Amino acid sequence: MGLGWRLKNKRWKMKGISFTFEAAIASILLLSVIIFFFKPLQSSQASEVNHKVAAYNGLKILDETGGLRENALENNATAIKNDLSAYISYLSYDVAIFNKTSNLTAIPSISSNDVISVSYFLAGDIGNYSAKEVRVFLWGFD
Amino acid sequence: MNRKGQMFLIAAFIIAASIVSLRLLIRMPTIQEEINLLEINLEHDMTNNWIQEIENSAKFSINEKTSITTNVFDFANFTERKAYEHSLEFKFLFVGSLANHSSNILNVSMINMLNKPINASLNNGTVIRVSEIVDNGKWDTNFSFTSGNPSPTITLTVGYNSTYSENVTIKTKNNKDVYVGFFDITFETSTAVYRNKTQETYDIH
Repeated sequence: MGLGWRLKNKRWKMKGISFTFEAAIASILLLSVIIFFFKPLQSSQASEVNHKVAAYNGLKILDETGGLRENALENNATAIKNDLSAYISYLSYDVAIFNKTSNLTAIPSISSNDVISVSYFLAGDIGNYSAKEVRVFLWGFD
Repeated sequence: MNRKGQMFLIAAFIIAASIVSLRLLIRMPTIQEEINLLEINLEHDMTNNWIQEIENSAKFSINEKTSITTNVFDFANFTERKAYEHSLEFKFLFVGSLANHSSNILNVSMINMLNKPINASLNNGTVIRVSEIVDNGKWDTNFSFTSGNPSPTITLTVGYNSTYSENVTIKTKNNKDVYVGFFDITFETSTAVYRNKTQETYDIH
């Protein structure tokens, strides 16, 4: 074993380490790009629609499981708001009830400029026709 | 100098740049498609809500048989106004018939909310009645029927403008009045049409 062989061997080892290091950097770079660009996309508009869907589905479930019609007929927006907390507690929201021409409960005073609403319509209950709109106001999505 | 190692990095940069370019190209349509799909689903749910409640407006009124048609008309007007607020066009044709078992009279009301006047016709197989109904108007008429055992079934043919024809089946009862509601409900947006035709029968106690 001469000095030349040892130097050659050392150079090969250095090259190997350098290859591995560069391959690792390349892999990390590729993985980062893939993870960053292929994660689920979100936009504020999409999340607003999602919130509307969540509120609407909450109202629908309350209607199917009972309580919504009775509370709407009694103009009890507070009870509807409390019942909705099981579905949209993570949002800022309030409820108002309307008839054909005007509001029957107070329209919430909301300071945010970014307010959306979703409505559910009711024709009363058995033996008690009464046209009502239950409107849920949603805000504070930042 | 041997640059084989840097080839990994160069290749990685090229692939990363391709991924970024590709993703930027398809990014906005993907979000927009997702939003559109959510909005269409919500719109579909809302129209189903209205359709169900228009039918309920008759069902919930059967305790006051003389108010059934009035309440359906009332709720249809409410729906039209609210649908407009949600950028939906509402079209509605309704025929409500009350078969009175003691007088053997079939009282029929037809509501036109098709956004145009119509030349309406009602045919019970022996008698044809016609009338023009203005938009957002109601036409009341009646037919007599002969009671019997078994109680008769009346087929009422509903038509307008010679282009529309639907049969409404009314199974009368000897011991109670029967109300039959025929609902033809349409909601239209710039991109979709939701239509539901149904017939509901209610025994009046």
